[in-house]
Amino acid sequence: MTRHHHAVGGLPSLLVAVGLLIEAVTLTASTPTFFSLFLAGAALVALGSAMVVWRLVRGPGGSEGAVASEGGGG
Amino acid sequence: MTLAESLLVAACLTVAGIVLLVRSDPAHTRTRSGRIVALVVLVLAPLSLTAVGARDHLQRAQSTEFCLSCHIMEPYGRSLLADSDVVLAAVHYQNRYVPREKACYVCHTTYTMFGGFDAKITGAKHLWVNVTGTAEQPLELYQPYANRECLHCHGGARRFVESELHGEIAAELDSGEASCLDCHGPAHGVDELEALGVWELPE
Repeated sequence: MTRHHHAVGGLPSLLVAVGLLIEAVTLTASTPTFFSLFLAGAALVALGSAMVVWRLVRGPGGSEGAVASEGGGG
Repeated sequence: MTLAESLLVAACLTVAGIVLLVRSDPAHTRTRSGRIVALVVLVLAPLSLTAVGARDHLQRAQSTEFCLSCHIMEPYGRSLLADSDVVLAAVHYQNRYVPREKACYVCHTTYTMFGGFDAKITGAKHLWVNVTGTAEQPLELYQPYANRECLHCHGGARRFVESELHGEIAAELDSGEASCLDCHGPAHGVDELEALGVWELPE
């Protein structure tokens, strides 16, 4: 059985989504603490986006785990 | 709708796009068009939103309200409303010599070529000590308050140039040998606030 994965990967998508949600929440108020949290969210977005670009640039051929075999490949 | 609210909606829409992308057929992101969609949804849109959000946060970080939201700045906030005609913060704030909504920023940004950038670096340090609770008491400026920041507004002003003393010590003021604070002040007078009383800001 073969399981196909997205070329961009789940972890980078998760990092970007979580980072964006943190940013969105922190935009509701203007305090030093919220600003700090915003920067943390921005760091997650930057990291996730960089991973996505890396995976897209490497292409499907070079992407380890882009197509992963599971269960012994029946 | 404010910029922050617009960004909030855009961020939620982008997250929804990410969820849809991740839940879609994996084969999509292996095609050229799928990769472009992934690039937009996972890279371009999030980074654009982050850039606009950062700009919005930085703008709002210039507000008096932002500076005074730190507990440690509370006495400096009270000094703006001190019932005094010598405490500089009070005189400038109450007479609207500085915009009230940016009172701290206007006086504490250095008016140099990279003053705005320096202020952001300093602000980042302040964020760090606020989050970690490592601010040292009593608060002190990183370097003595430069006459340049006063003269940015007062230099050339009628009251300034018509003062004979200012003319006599112009060279010393320019070189920094004499400080504006030698004669004017105190800047905030935080130790004297209890005795001074409070000026009620009109509604």
